Amino acid sequence: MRASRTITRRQWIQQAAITAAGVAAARGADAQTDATVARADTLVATGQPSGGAPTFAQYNDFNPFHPGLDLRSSICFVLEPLFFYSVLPDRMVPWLAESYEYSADHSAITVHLRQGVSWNDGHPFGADDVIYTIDMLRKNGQGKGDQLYASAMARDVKELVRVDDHTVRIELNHPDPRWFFTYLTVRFTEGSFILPKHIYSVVDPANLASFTALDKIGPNGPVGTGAFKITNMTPERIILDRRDDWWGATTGFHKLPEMKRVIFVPFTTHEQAAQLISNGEVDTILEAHVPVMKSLLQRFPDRITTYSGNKPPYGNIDWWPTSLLFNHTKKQFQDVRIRRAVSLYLNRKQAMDYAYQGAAEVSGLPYPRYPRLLPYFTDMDETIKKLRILDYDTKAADALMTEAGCAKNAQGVWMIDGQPMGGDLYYPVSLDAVAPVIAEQLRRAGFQVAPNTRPGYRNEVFFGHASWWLWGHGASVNDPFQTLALYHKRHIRPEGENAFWPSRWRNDEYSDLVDKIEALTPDDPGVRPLVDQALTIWLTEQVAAPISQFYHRIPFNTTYWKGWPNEQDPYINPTFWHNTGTLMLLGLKKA
Amino acid sequence: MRTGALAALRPLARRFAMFVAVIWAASTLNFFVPRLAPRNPIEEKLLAQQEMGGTTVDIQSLVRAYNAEFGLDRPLWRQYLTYINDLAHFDLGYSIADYPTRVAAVIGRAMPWTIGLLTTTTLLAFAIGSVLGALTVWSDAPRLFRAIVPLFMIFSAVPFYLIGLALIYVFANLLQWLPLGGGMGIRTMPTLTFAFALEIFKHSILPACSILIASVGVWALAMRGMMVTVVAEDFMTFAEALGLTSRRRFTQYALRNALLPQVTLLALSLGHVLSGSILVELVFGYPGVGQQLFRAIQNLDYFVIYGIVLVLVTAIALAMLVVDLVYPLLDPRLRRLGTAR
Repeated sequence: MRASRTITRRQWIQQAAITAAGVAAARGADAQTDATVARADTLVATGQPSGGAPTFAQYNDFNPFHPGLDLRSSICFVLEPLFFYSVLPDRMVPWLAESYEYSADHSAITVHLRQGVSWNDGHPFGADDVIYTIDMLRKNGQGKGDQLYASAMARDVKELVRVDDHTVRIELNHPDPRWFFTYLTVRFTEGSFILPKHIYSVVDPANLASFTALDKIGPNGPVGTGAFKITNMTPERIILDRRDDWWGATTGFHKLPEMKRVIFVPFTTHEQAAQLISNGEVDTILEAHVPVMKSLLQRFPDRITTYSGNKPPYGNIDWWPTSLLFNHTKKQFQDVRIRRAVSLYLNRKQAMDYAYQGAAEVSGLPYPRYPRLLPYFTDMDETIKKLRILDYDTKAADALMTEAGCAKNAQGVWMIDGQPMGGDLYYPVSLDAVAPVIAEQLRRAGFQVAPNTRPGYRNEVFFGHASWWLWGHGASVNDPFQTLALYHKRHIRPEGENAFWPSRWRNDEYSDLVDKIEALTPDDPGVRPLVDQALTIWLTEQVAAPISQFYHRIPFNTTYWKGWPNEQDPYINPTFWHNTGTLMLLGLKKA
Repeated sequence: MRTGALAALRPLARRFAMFVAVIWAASTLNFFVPRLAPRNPIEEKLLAQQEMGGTTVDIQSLVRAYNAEFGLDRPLWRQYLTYINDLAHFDLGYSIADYPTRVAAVIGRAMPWTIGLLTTTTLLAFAIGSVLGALTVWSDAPRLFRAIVPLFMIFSAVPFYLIGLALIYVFANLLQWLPLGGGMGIRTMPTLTFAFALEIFKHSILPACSILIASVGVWALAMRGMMVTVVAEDFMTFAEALGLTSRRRFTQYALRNALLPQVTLLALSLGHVLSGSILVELVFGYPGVGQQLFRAIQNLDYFVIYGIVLVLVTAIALAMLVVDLVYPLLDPRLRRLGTAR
């Protein structure tokens, strides 16, 4: 006789619920993840922006050379570079390398690697890894060219010489005194991390998909030399745990980070992020708008602070000074008098007051106010005043417009050659506070203008369809050359083609000066006068209308962690999601 | 005998053919509609990198390489043939935004959250709404029900996400009884424990409530309309004349007959479950299919859009097929109609 196997409805529901919970848990569970790390040992941060969705993009990609990959919050804490550059104190920070030197003609670089470094699977780090990383990119660049820096490596690198286990010589096809900084020094979102040869070298550099799929999370996470390993990674959350066997600690190079665990969750909305940091669920967030930041500082003075404390600008200067840029191939902006008039129509102080409640500095140059670039602000001060780069004078602007042959129609709109002047003012979402104000100032001045940040706006800008746009100059940080080079005539492309820098301005004298600067080392005394000459042309021609410095306003909660970078101790830019984030994690102390 | 069996199978085959045709037509539409936008997702993604700054990336060659990688450099008709061929092999391809994650993995990861939240809320809203709607026209029902249902009907005119925002403000912000959002706590580790299940449940309360509050009224309204017709039928008068209890007349006669159109609606709603409730999932940061679809549209991630819409269309078509097949079992009149033919 068979025993009865019937179950009641209640029993069925109970069993189904338990099974469902088990399946759900098993999907996300990771046997390697220790569930018991205390809050006081955990740093929690909202990492990269996600466009409102509560998920990270490309959450399982460990190849730092994948274009478009956001390294923030993940692999940039696992891999390490040869050097970091910390911009606020203007400091090169030797890391996997101890030093490097150029040959006399700057066509070769000898890199001396640190001894005692090992990958987190125990394999020693050395010259082979550095050579492999550069050579992989070079080979990729010679073929498929689908990795970051690959085409540059293919163009620039002639030979890689393994001098010994810890010394590499990189021979270039042409002299370039900036090559090491450009490609092998990590700062902001730029520069190369070094890959483990013993993991990646079994794959053809052209075989992108399997190249990435190779390095899944293993017992120690993706293989890296960093102080952290990735132990759990889902679209909704990334968990990094401290490696107590990190080479930095075992060799005495640096103390272990004080946090045992770092958790990154995506930044969804400003409101939600503010709520999370105010109630201590997270320790820092991507950013806060000025009104939100002021509110946080006023309501929670005991636990919320910023890089500049509780004072404006409530953050630090970023490498992205804001300007109004013109498309010089458009008829309406080909006359310098019109560009100058547009600049005079901009009431920059009013824009700063409206957009940032005054917590931002207007800027006459397209440079961030970083230590090495400050001399140029001094040099150009008189020129900026003389050319009225930052002045607001609508009468003078009207006169210039009339002089240039423009006239207002019955609706008060400026016309040139029978066409209304203006067009959509494109801008990235990071300028959403200031763009509508600038657009309104231009509309009142008589231009047909509407702020526009719809998807696809970048195509309008880069492909030369846009007439004007608000933008940042993400280029120079310690050397004036990079920003000047953006305006070199070599970047000019006809409308319909992607221009690397879309201003499409041509000035042979200026481009010649940039070529001369490029040939000199950044600290050559001959650089400064050449830069001053180039900047004078740039300002005189009113190539763009500089507006302001750009800031990262990041609130920090001091309940669990202290030692956040600040004006008194600016050991690293506090943009923890940048590729220099490791330095910030190492600098934080338990509260 | 054999001919009879074939004849019996013919309607089934016809319905299945219709099912396949619906999926093909929807997939074709699904392929071409996103392509109407004059945008290239690869280019946009890489231009975003170009915009961020740096002077070291050759974007143009990268765009070329990745266009080739995803087959976007080929003529549209060839892309379409590849797409249909891949679908026939159940290959949804790679996500552009989350490369090298496969689309199936993107959907598979998000689906349990959406199914868990929306299946429960849809069934609950169906059950509560249908019963409340029926009770509003049942003369023996307490007056309280007649007061509650109009309230739900008012809420049904309010979008889910607005109710969601109000719930967040009251219960997560002011009272701090429930979490702000997400599928689970930031520091919570998935474990096979009651505490973890409770955590998941707590995070689902507010999104579930916002959907329930907004949708119960819709079900109630539809049910009320059917009940008005049913209670006036002769068989209801006959049942009363037989002396059957009010409860029996309500459940066995009125409710059962009025429920049939609701079942069709339920099948459609369950099919829609897989598309997620985009705005609710976004407002609550709930990691379901809806927010994946939102992100895919934002990034013009063709392959994820294709994948999610295909799953959605298949689910709805399947639900309709099942309803088509099951309906005769629920309504004996249809069985008789089928036999008479």
